[in-house]
Order: sequence, then structure tokens, then C-alpha cells
Amino acid sequence: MSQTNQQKKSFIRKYIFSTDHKIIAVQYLLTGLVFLAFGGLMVFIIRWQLAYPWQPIPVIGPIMFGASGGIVLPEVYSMLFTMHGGIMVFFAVTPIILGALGNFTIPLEIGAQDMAFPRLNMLSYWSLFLGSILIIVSFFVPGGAAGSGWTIYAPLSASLKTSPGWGQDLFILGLTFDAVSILMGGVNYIVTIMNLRAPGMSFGRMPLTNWGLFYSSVLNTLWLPLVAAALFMVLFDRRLGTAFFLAGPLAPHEGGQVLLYQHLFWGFGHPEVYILILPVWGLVGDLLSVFSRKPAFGYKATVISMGAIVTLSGIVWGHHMFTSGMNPLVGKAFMLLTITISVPTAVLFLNWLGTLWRGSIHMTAPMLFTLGIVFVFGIGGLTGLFHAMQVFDIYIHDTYFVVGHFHYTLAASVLFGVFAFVYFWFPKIFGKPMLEKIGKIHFWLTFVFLNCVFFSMMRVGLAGHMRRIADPTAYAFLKPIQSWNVFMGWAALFLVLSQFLFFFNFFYSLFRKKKAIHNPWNVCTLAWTTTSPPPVHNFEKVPTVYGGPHEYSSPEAKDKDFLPQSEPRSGQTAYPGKAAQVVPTPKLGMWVFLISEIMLFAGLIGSYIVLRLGSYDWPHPGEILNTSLLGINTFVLITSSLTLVLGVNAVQNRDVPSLKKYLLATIALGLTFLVIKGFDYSHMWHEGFTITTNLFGSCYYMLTGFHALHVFSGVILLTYLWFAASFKSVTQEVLSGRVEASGLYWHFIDIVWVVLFAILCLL
Amino acid sequence: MLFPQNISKSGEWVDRLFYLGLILTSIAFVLVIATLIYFLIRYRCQANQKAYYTHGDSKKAIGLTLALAIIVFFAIDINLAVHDHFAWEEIWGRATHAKNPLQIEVMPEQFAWNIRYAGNDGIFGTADDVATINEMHIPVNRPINVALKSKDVIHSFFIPNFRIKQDAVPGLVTYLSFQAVQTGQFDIACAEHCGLGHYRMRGQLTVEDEAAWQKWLAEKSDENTGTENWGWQWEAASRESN
Repeated sequence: MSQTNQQKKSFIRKYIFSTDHKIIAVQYLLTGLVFLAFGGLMVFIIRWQLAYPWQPIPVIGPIMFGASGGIVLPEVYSMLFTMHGGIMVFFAVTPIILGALGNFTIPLEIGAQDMAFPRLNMLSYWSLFLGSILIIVSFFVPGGAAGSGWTIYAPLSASLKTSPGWGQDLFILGLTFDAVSILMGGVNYIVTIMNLRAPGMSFGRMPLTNWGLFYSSVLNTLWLPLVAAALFMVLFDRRLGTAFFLAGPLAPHEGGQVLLYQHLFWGFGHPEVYILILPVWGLVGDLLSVFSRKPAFGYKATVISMGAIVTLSGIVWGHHMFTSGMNPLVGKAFMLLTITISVPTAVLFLNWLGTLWRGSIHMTAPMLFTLGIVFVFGIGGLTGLFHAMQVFDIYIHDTYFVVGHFHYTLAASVLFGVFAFVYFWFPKIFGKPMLEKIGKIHFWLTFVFLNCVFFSMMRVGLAGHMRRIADPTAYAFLKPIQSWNVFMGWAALFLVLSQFLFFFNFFYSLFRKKKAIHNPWNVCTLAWTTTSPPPVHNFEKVPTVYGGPHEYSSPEAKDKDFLPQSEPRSGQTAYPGKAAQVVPTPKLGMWVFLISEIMLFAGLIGSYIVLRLGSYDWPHPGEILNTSLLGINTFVLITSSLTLVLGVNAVQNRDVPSLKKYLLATIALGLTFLVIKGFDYSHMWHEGFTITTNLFGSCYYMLTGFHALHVFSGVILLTYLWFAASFKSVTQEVLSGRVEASGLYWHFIDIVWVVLFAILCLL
Repeated sequence: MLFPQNISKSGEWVDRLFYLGLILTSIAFVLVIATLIYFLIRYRCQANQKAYYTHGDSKKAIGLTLALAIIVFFAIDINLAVHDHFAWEEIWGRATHAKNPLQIEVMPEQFAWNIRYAGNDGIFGTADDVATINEMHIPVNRPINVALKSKDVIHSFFIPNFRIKQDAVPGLVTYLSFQAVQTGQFDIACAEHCGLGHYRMRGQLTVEDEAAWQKWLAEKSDENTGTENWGWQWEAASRESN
């Protein structure tokens, strides 16, 4: 049925505004590849400038930097390394690893027909698309793109005096849309994996890639909102005249805390490394197993180790701040926690080697990249130990040693993950095989040149070469190692050129006639039991799962060397029914979303508390705030929660007229709250208490403003439900699910208000 | 070989920490890669050779995993942490007990290092203060304590030859200690991206013997470089206005 419906759909519905997870995966993949090429070309300009400072760039220089005679000016250099980092991390590998790999493999590998929330999935891609438009536009605004580094450190980024122009704002807004996209994706991935697994697909039978994606989504849900909170505050500092992260002469008033930004940023920034590497680790586990024709060694130990790393990743951010002026004792705690990550990581390596041991190893192109990951992540992981040592890190912090280290982990390992993913999944995604030979040549060229560049980075880092400097030749201690910069310049050129092989292979394979078979690599998992490319709803019939994802060379397999997950085992009856859903899908989605919301407010409220406790003179809230008005508003909002509870009760009793009545009452109370809020704002503003008056004013307007925005979205949501209650097409179950989920959101807003009311008036 | 010339009393501790890490991680890396290459050759796919079917969850495998975890934790992690602790005590612990240290205040701004000496009276904020820009002179073999505070954005005070680095943050005073054992001219670099001129934010450190340093300080004092270039006053002024 759905098949024929789909065919009738217009081109735009089918390929542009599609809700099919496979089409969305391709959209993510192509967007990511465009930005990968874009960010990759910047590499060459950056390395050329370091190899031959202030010399015109051959060929492309006169075209791109004609005004300066083909020379890279310092402001252009800042822009280049900032946008290289920002684009590569957030717009190249994130869309490919989370967006494309996640979207394509999760439903197919767990036997689902699509994501839990297909329309949210579509919205997620278009949010990224909007973000990427803003990033591209930022290059063409007066003053050019952002230049304060991809880490957007305040106060450099947070003051118009030090970062003028709209480039910085557009970068932050672009990242915000990207973050929204990732969070929507995260909700979908978590709920899909929790609730839409095929019968028999227990957690212990999921491919490791899905485990990695699940863990990443958990980390995103938890930590991404923190950096969003920090970036909002940077934007406030820039455009609204607040001083959350400003101090000294740059600040309009006292009390701002510069290091607060770093804590918030790295609170997300360190987990981000794992967000990108966890799916790649999963991919390594799966692919090593496929191409060794052997079950993944220590599946459980791998999953537990990855879980341990997920836990540790959230509590080690301080190792980015050893030189910031942080208390050395706190630094020691961060050192110990950081260094402990090597234990679960070592277990991963043991299991990878264990998978190869006594296997039957097939050296295909995806396998080469997988083995490449083991090599480059070995270097990346082990060099991490040097950064964990406080004393040594103080020397190499902000030098090319750390640049080399994170390029080995983030660039090399994740990039190889991208290639392994594309080479392995291409036949399933597009139904066409890729060219193996060119893939292998691409691997060897990339492997050699990439190591030439990244290893040299660490070498010059040991010599003290600072990162983000446009001209190393000005320093006496860097003179002896300038030849390494020249070497890196040429190696980077060849590294960039080698990638043309990949793009040629990609598009040549895509447009040629030859078709791929359904299971070219002889894989056990569910995705490879369906056609290549899969039909719209993936499977003719929802498969039943009887065994693990890596049953290669199983003695039970008769005529082949692998036992598909959906093939019944001898002496095993069908798995009884569908996996139980502990929490229904709409509610679970709302819960995951609310965890993000809690973390966003935790970031904002936590910042308020830090700023409050760090200030000597703080105004007395009772003298400024109209507490009686705030009290009335609290009462209004609590009453609205009550009416909504009655509404939920009504919909559960299938009493739609009562539901509509209570929804209307809730909407009215919500609007009353907003009107009183508006009156409160305008009154205080006229009294002279504005967002720029002092730090308390900034915090007050920021916190209550964000909350009012949430109330406003809640009112819109409830208005939509009021209309939905009248639609015939919305069934009772769907309506009930939506009202209950929206109820959760509304109650959450109330709780936030009560917390805000308490801490703003009392602290 | 790998590092710039070390002229700090405790700089070798940093280098030693690196070489210890290098030895331990090299052993781990070589073991992994050698095993990997051996397996790739030994177990490459051959006709009539089937892979060994195991999930690696036997008691032996779990024992091996636990043994590896313990070895890594104690041989690498604890080993490095303990050595780091000793190095910390040597470098920073010694600094806090240093006798007769020379106090210097550094206030970077985009894109220069403002440096201030207390002068003969040893008290900052008096008429005989000596202020310079991008020019730091220190006596050899005397402990130096630097107090840092930035005027605008974050900068990072970095002297590779001393193996030290400390961020200068607006609104926060941070501290740094070192002691030179050799005379000469060295670079002061900014390690934290601070804007367009980050790459040229270079200072010059001159290490000389006590007499030469005293002479230099007296000359600077006579030049009356004064404190008009000095900016920590803004802080005092704003405190008073509050």
C-alpha cells in the first residue's frame, strides 16, 4: 500500500521534504560531503601560510584573495582556522556520522520501518540545512566569517570590540540550528532504539554501531544544551550589552566570569569527542567481525567499556583548562579521571585484536579503513595520556601537539570512520557497488599523507609551536623546525588531492548502471536481508530476530559461512511477540526532549548561581522585583497545570468536549501569565531596571525571558491540540498520547518557573 | 633533541615526564600494531580455512580482559599520575617555598605584554615602579614569581625554554613561577588565540647575572618609564567608584 502511495508522491515530497529515513540519511550524507570538501580545501590554504608565511598562494590565491595580491591576511587566517574547525566538526563529520550513519542504519538494523518520529526527522535535517546556509552566508557579510576559533572563547568572541561584524553571530546561530538538529535526531534515535526494535531484537543482539549511536545520542541529549546555553549568553553579551563572560575594561559592568564560559563549553566539548568517536568504534567492531568472518570478540565487554567511557566523558572536561588558572588540586582530580579512560579504551583494542585472531581476514576497502582506524586511533588515544598529565599538559597546551592529538582522534579516526561507512554501506544505500581498487588506492594515499601531516604536527608541538599563529618564523625557538611546516604544507596538498579519488569513486559508482547485490559482504544483520536499496518501509514483512549480529562461521550455518539474524535456529521457536515498550513512544520522546531542556536550564540557572556567588555586591532582589506580581504569576501557572491535568483526565475518559474546555482554560491561563510578564517587564524597564543595568538585571531578563519563550511555545502547542481535538483524522489514541506528552512539557515549564521564582527572589 | 633548549631549574622534570610517557605508550602501541600486522598476515583468508567460531566471552577471555585492565591502570595510569605528582611538587611546590623571589606583574593586552617591576622599594604602585612593554629582564638563579591579569581578552604567557605556560585572564589574577639557570635571550609567546595580532604578540626575555640586571633596572628607573603605560590602575579606580 505504502509503496504505491510513495510512487505517486511528487519529486519534492519524495526527495526534498521526505520523511523516509533513508532519503534523509542521503541528504545528511551529501550535505556533510559538501562541507567536508569545503573544510578540506581550507586546510591547504592554512598549511601553505604556515609553510611560506605571507607569500601569495599559487593558483587559487589571486582568485580568492585578489584584494591582497593572493596573500592570506591575518584576519583571513583567523577566519580560516576558525571555520575549518567549526565546519569540520559540526557540519562535515557530525552530519555524516550522526545524521547519515545514524539515520540509515538504526531503523534498518533493528528491523523498524522508519524512525519513531519521521516528521521530526525531516525537521531535523532542515534545521541543519538552515544552519549551514547561515554558515555559508557568514563568509560574505562585512568583516567576514567568525575569527575567534571554533571554541568561541569568551571574551574574544563575546565583545563587539574584539570580534566586530556579524560573522561571529551567524556562526553562533548556525551552530544553534545545528544543535537543534542534533537534539531532534537524538530524541529520534533514542526512542527508535528503545521502542521500535523488531521482535527478538534484544539490546544484546544489536549491532555495535547501533550501540555507539545510542550512546552518542545520550551524550548529545545531556551535554549539547550546556554549550547552547553558553552560546546564547555569548550572543547576549555581544548584542544586548550584558556582561556574563566579560571582565575588566571590556565589560560594561562588574561581575562577569570569563572562565565560566570554558566550563560550559568543555562540559559539552569533551563529550563531543566521544559523540563522534563512539559510532565509529561501533562500526570498527562490526566491520572487523564481518571481514574476519568471526563473531565480534567480547561483545559484552565492548558495550560495557563504551558505557564506561560515556560515563567518564562527562566528568573530565577540566583537563582542557589546566593552564586557565584553575585550582591545581581540582586539576589533579581531572587528571586521574581522564587517565582512567585508558582502561576501557584498552579493552576495546583487546577486543578488536581478539576479533582478528584466528579469523579469515578479507582485505576489502572498508576493511582497510577500519584497520586504519585501529592504527590512527591508537596514536590518538595514546597521545591523550600526555594531555592528561597536568605538568606536561601545561607545556603542550595550545601547541601543535594538541592539534596533532585531536586530529588523530577527531579528524583521522572519525574521517576513516566516514570512509569505512561510505564504502561499506554504499551498495545498500544506493544499490550500486563502489570501485574496490580505487577505494584501496584512496586508502593508502590518505593513510600515508594523513600521517605525514598529523604526526609532524605533534613533532612541531613538542618544539613549542603555538596553534593558531599565522607566522611561526617570527620566533627564534621555532626557526629550527620550519622545514617541518614546509613538509606539512606539501603533504597536506597531496592529502587534499587524494580525496578527489573518493569523490570520483562516489559519483562514478552512483551514476553507472551496474547494480549491487542485496548482501555483497555476506553480513548477518537485518539491513542486508532486504533489497538494495531497501523499499520505502524497509522490509516486506517485519523480521523476527533469532540470534546475535555477528554469527559468522557459525557451525549452525549450512551452505554459507554466516547465519543471518532473521534465520531460525534449529531447536529454537519464534521469539514470543514484540519487545515490550516500557514507556509509550510519544511520552518517551517528550521525556528525552525534557532531559535536554533540563540541561539547558541547568546551564542557565547554574551560570546564574556561579555569577551570583562570585559577586561581592549584589542588589537586594526584593527592592527591585515586584514580588507580589511574580507571586500572582506563580499562582496562575500552577492553576494552569491543574486545568491541564483535568484535560488529560478527560481525554483518557474519551471526553473530547471536556478536553477542549480544559485546554482552552490552560491556554487562557498561559496567556494571562505572559500578559502579566509583559506588564512586569515594561514596568521595570521604565523604572530603569534593564538587561544592562547590572548582572542581576542580565540574569533576570535572560532566565525569565527564556522561560517566557517556553510558555509561549507551550501555548502554541496547546492551541494546536485544541484544533487537533476537532479533527476527525486524529484518532483517540493518538490524541491521548499527544495530550499526555504535552502535559509533561507544560508541567515542566511550571516547575522551571517555581525554581526561577525561588532562586531569583531568595538567592 | 625534541624540545627547545631548557634553561629552567625544573624544566627537565617536564621533559622526563614526556620520555616516560613516550616509553610506556610506545610499548603499548608497538604491541598492538605488531599483533595487528601478525594477525593480518597469519589469518588472511585462504581457501579451505574457516575462521574459529568464538564470541570471546569464555572465562579465559574475561580473565585476559581484567588482567589487561589492571596492567593498564597500574603500569601506565598510576605510573604517569604518580610521576606527574612528583614533577608538580618539584616545580610548583618548590616555587611556593622559594626564598627571596623576584615579583613581576604582567598585564597583557591585544597585542603586547605590559610588564611591571616593583623597583627598589619592593612595593607595587609606588613612584619607583618600572614598567616596560614586551621586554622582560630577569636575574639568573633567582626564583621569579609572576602575577598575571589580562586587560582585555585571554592571553597565555608562554616561555617554551622554561616549559611553562599560564593563561592571563581578565578579572582574575593567576600566578606562575620559574627560575633560570642560564643567561641568554629567549622568546615570550602568547599561546591563547587573542585576535588578529596573536601571531606577533612576542616578548623578549633577557636572562642576565644579578649585577647586569640591577644595572638594567636602574637605567629603566632613570628613564622614568613610569607607570603611565601601566593598566592595573583601572582596576583600583573602578573599585573605588563602587
